[in-house]
Amino acid sequence: MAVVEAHTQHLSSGQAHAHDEHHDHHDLPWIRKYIFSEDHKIIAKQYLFTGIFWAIVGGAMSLIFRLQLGFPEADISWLKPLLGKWITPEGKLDQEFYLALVTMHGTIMVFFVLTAGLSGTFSNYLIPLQVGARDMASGFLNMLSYWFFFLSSVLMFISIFIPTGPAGGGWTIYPPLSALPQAISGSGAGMTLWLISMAIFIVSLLLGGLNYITTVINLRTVGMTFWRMPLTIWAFFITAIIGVLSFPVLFAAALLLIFDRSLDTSFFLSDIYMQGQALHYKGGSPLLFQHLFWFLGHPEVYIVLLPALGITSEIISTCSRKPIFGYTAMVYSIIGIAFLSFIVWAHHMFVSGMNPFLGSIFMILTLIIAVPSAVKSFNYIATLWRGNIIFTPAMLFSIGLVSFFISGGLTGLILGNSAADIQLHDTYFVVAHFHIVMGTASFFGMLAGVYHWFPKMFGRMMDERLGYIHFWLTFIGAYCVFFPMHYIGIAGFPRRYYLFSSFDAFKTFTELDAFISMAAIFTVSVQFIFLFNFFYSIFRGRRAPQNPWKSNTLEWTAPINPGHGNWPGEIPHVYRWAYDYSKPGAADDYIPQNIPFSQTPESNLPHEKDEE
Amino acid sequence: MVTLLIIACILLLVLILLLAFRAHVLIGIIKNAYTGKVGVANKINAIGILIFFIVGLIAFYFSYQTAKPYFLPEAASVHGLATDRMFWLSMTIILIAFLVTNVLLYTFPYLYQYKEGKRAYFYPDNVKLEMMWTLLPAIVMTILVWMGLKEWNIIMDFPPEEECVVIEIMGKQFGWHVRYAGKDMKMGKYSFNSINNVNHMGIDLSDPNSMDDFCPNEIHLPKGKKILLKIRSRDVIHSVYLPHFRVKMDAVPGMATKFWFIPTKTTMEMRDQLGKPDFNYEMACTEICGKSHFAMRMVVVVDEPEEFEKWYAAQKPFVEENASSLNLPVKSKPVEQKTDTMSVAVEIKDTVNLDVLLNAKEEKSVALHINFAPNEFSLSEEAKTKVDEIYTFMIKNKDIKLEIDGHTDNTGDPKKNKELSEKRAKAIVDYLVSKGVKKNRLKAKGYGSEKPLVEGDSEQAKAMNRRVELKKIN
Repeated sequence: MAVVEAHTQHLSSGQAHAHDEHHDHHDLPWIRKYIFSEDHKIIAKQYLFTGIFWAIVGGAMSLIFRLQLGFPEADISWLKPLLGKWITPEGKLDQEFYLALVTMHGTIMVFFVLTAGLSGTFSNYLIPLQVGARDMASGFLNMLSYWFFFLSSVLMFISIFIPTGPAGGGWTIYPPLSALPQAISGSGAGMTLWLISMAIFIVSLLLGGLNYITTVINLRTVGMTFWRMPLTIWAFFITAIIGVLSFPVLFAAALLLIFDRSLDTSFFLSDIYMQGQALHYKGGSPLLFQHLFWFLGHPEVYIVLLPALGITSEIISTCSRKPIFGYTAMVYSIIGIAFLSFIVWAHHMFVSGMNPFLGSIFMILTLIIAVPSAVKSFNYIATLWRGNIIFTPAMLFSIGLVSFFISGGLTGLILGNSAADIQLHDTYFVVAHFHIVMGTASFFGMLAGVYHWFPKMFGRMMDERLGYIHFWLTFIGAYCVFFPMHYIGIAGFPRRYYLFSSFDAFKTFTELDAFISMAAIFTVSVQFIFLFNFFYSIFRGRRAPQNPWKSNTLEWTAPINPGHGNWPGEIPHVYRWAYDYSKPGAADDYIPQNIPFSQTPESNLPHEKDEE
Repeated sequence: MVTLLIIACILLLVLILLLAFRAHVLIGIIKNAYTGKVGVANKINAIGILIFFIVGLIAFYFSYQTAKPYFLPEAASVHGLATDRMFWLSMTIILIAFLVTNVLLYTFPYLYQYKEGKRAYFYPDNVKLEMMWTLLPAIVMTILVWMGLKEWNIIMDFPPEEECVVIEIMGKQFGWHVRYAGKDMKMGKYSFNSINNVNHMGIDLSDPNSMDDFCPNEIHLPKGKKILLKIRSRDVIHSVYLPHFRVKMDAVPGMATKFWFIPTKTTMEMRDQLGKPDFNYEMACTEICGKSHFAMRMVVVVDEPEEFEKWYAAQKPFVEENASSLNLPVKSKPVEQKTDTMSVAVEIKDTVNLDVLLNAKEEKSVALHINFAPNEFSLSEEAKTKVDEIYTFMIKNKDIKLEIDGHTDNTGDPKKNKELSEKRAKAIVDYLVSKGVKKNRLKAKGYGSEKPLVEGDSEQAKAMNRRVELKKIN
């Protein structure tokens, strides 16, 4: 550790020096400052704005298919100006386009909103500011990372408008459905664009991830040991490692699928007869694709969730005015979850036809992952205990996250059990489970992050009252949308169904489906309160003080509007962990990380005395 | 114009809200409302959290009670009863965990809300406590894993094939085909290269074992016997889902999968138990497979063993039933399509709402796809349920008069097609009349292949064209 620290010191002071010199004459042209910027703060905002754009698109898509599910009888010709030929002459949603909407909603929300929008924004924004660095290890690669993401976004966006429609085989794009254009129209040019877009997205993610890892390892300021890092940084750091290790596997899967589609190879295809023709594919395995996909797909769940949990840890501690309970356990549970996330993927495949013995192994591993998750929940609750809690909108959203994390996590225990999963697999129970535990929970983490770090990002405050209204309506709405889905799932309704009336077994619950749809429309609508608050406050919000939440972490020691290089003079040194809240004896209820122990003799604990 | 007006209204509304908000902010500034201190809002939010929890619990309870009757449709297999028990046991465990954690999560914010001058309790860790809540979930997980493993191993421990009634199920876009081994109890080989418009499953017709294999339109199962499903697909991945039997297994092209179970209740017993005389077991698809994924329905009938034997013996072998069209011996040469055109399992399910007929100003017709057995014009049970929809529609709308037109696709002899389509249209009319619809409200016509809905020779087009059209004639 000592060696690493010495190295870090050397690096950061060297870099600080270089930057100080650089500072005097940096008048970058506008385009380099705001568009092709290498500044992590600008790049973070670019990720945030793109993420918000995609969230609107993804949310709107969900409303269209919720209309179909909730009101299958309704005439929706009024959507014709928007959807054109995807509305049939009878005023119904086209059946293949319904599947395309479901597919794109999943893809957009998982990859573009909750991976790029969440992790991209906050890892970029907070890592340098919280570890005490001038910028990312490589500003240039960081810029490339965003612009690759932008390119991938453009391609994905174009795919929505092509005549054959966007990809329609589910966000998991299982071949042969995704491989053969004659199987579903979305598997034509739409799927090609999907695959190219995702390949570029992976490049972006790897560039970003390597940067995060390098920055955390090498550019921590003097005194910022690993065990003094805020939990946000731990979460971003581990998330980046998971991403770097798992996304290349998706890249491989996508590449092989591209080969099957255009070079007539047979990696995933075999023995297929379609539309009056026996196809030439021989010896491929559709199961191979599922293994490759879920080898990324499951860690991806944690890529989405861990940053949100990191953000929440920080906010709950700050707003409870209490140290996070069990910091060490929190770190180890992040590491434990990350490690286990790589060896549970086949629980998505219990009834895929894979060997039942594999099913047993993956059931055991899957249920083990519940242990570190449970530890995290208990630690959050223990942090609240005997706190002095201030309900900022960010704090409310964080509590909301914990609530969703528990509700959704618990149902995972049933789905992870291969025998119980037989009936529930691919039903609405699954939809309810993952929308609560990774969708809504991560979304709440993202909103909490925006509310909490908005003052740092834009130098202004968001309106609190609108924040409260936004929270309550979203919290109630989200539960109304996803909680009843459990009921529909336990009744056995399969997911990705355009209509349920073709089966006697799935004819019940039409009213509940209508209720869910109305709740979804409501929940999505109230997000406009947030959008208004967000954009209004950027320009007209109340000016932010330097440390509005009285927080301990380093970013609040930087100027209100930090310039290039983050701190004007020397980078502050770090002397303590990030959670010295309400320390007995201290004058204030917080002691920032850059205050040496020598200045706080009245509150130092016995083991801290030697560091004075 | 209306759209413009709506947009204008929305813009105006947004503008008003915006101004109101701005005014509110300005008043706040004038009044110097912002003090930077934790105010009354904190208290409201703290109470809100508590209220949310209590109201949420009540809503949970009542919604649960309303939804409960539909939960886990009555299990009708041996392992299904066991997995249901396990499901409810796991559910109880997670419900307890849910309640305990949520009580704490929602009451702490209320109890420990901000108070001026109060200090939070500096409490960074407690190793004992943390050990406890690491071990407790670990123990619960061990129990759950142990239970699950036990069940899973029983379900996945396949009995020898000789002890089972073997049924082959093949998924395709969009429907199922099933095959029984026939009298010799030996299933013939298959190859996807042998698939054509008649031989949907690619049965190897040179294999002597295939000769007595039969392919019925619905699945029959004997109660209390071991059933082995051999599952495959000929195009994309499908998934065999029998909700009442707790059976689910993917159908994968190029890879055989299987599942076994023992049905415990006949269709009749289930009808009595549920009090639903029209109840049927169903098979559905649960792996996204394209356009009509939601409509891959097949009826499953569970018989008493003796009834099953009778039914089994009465089935005609596939080769015998399709002798004319198969043109045996078939090797790789594509086969002529059989003359009958309304026989192939329906590929398109109707999502049409008959009500569109009501408001139709000019002549408007609605296409329905109703299944008929090959060369038959009598209505099957399945077809009757379809026609019952027309019946309810006509009963609901007392004034409407309908013309019922039969159509076929363009294969086979046009004259024969016309005859057959007319007979089928008549059969529908007769059925409706027998149920009490007045005869003068109905008219039957047959058009054969004269008026196709869509052009072309693809399977898709043909399936679209095999239909019955309803036309309003008053």
